[in-house]
Amino acid sequence: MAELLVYGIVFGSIIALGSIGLSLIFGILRFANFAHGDMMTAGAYVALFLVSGFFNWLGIPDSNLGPLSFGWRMVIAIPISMIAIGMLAIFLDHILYQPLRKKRSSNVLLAMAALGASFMIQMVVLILWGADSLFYRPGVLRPALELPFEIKIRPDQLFIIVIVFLSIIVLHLFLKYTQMGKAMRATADHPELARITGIDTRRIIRWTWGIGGAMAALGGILYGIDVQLHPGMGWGFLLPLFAATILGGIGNLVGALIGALVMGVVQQISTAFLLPTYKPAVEFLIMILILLLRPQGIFGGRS
Amino acid sequence: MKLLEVHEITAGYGETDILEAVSIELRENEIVAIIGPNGAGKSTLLKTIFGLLTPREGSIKFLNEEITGLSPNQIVKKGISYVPQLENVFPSLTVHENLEMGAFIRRDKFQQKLSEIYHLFPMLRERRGDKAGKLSGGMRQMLAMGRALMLDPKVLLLDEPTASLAPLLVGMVFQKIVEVNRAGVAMIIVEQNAKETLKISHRGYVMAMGRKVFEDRGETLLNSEEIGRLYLGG
Repeated sequence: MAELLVYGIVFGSIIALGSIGLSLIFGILRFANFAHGDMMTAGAYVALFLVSGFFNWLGIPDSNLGPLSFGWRMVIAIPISMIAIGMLAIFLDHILYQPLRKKRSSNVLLAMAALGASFMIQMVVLILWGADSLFYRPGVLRPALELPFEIKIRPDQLFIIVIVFLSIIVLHLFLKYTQMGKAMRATADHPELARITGIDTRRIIRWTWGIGGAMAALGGILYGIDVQLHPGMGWGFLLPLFAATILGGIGNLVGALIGALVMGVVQQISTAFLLPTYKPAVEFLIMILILLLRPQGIFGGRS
Repeated sequence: MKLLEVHEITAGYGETDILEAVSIELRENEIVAIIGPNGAGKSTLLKTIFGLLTPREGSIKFLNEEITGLSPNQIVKKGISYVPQLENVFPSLTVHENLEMGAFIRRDKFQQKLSEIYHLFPMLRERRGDKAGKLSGGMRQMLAMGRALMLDPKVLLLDEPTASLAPLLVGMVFQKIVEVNRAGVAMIIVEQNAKETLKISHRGYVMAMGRKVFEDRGETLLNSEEIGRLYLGG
């Protein structure tokens, strides 16, 4: 049981990176980004391309990093992939969503466009890397650390939890104390008033996509480190992503984090009683229950 | 000197025109009131000046420069600030953060301006750390005005600053408006509270059915029997 709890927290914190971006984008654009999971996939594969392709070609050696299953190459690949996916997100908004917003298209149309973007990303990944599951470094297994209370945790998983919490703290400080962060919160509060105040909302939107994309890429890479890479992985994240965002209250970042942790833990614990193939059913059940009982989320937010 | 010249603008939402050939002007250091019954197009006029609506015909000049068709963020940079009637603060931001957002496009350090605003509205300083969403209606109006003043505008456009406020607060808001005006900010005020507004206004315009029907000095409008009967409720 303790092990499932650890796995749940690890999976939950990976999901949190996605759900926070999803929540941020929804808060500012009132737009459900169905391609968010696939941005995570794209981030994971860009890192794979760097670690096992591009850096080889450049001749960067891959030295080991203590007990972790990956090396220095990954440390360099993570920020590059985050920037790449941040830019991809800004680009997608520019060519796809912004023209639709200009025409004042309905939310349904925007959601469909996001769905289209989702398929496109999946297919591109499928064409470039094939349908098989891939690993950053095949065949490396590191012994788990033994913590008190018989908790076993792999060094990679510890790394994931630490990285996730660090990046969420950095994002929180950014939103709370920088002028840009405050302007993002102001725009989420009231886009029209932000425009009246002179805030350049198009710039805010670019920042939002950039941050959302970068966080998603990080989440995808961490999942790739913890489990494996697969072209459909992001599609599978969609349900827990949305459930976590709704659970935490849409537009509420702390809520999105806690929502994601709850989703991760509940989903993993359920495998003690049910077959793992029922995980999506459990996620659906949680989402339906939240929508029935408390649609504004546990911590409130926008409906 | 004329700050703002609105020349025969016709504007509205979609196909329907609400304003028909309305002309008004604002001179330096003036308070100008726009009064008239509900649906007269007063708020629409203010929104059109600020670029939230694009006029179908006519022109708007600010300091002799054409500003017709500019977007609100361009107009705000020129020196015109606008305070909407409702939802005019960022509820999840603190009072202090709201004021900082008012100065978002300022490139200089605005600490001096911030302390001026706190000096003008001491109640805001007391509650600087509170979320704006928790403030009362009167306090929100003050905050909205304070935020709009952060950019040192030459012109302030106020849309019904006293709507749905308790009588005691109405007096306080008007008093602040006069103080702000004495500091050198010209204002156009759209109000339902016509008598009180005319008392503090240098000039006033009366609108009805999307047209300008009267214009005169504030005092004259206030004492005019016809206007009193038709538009000020007897």
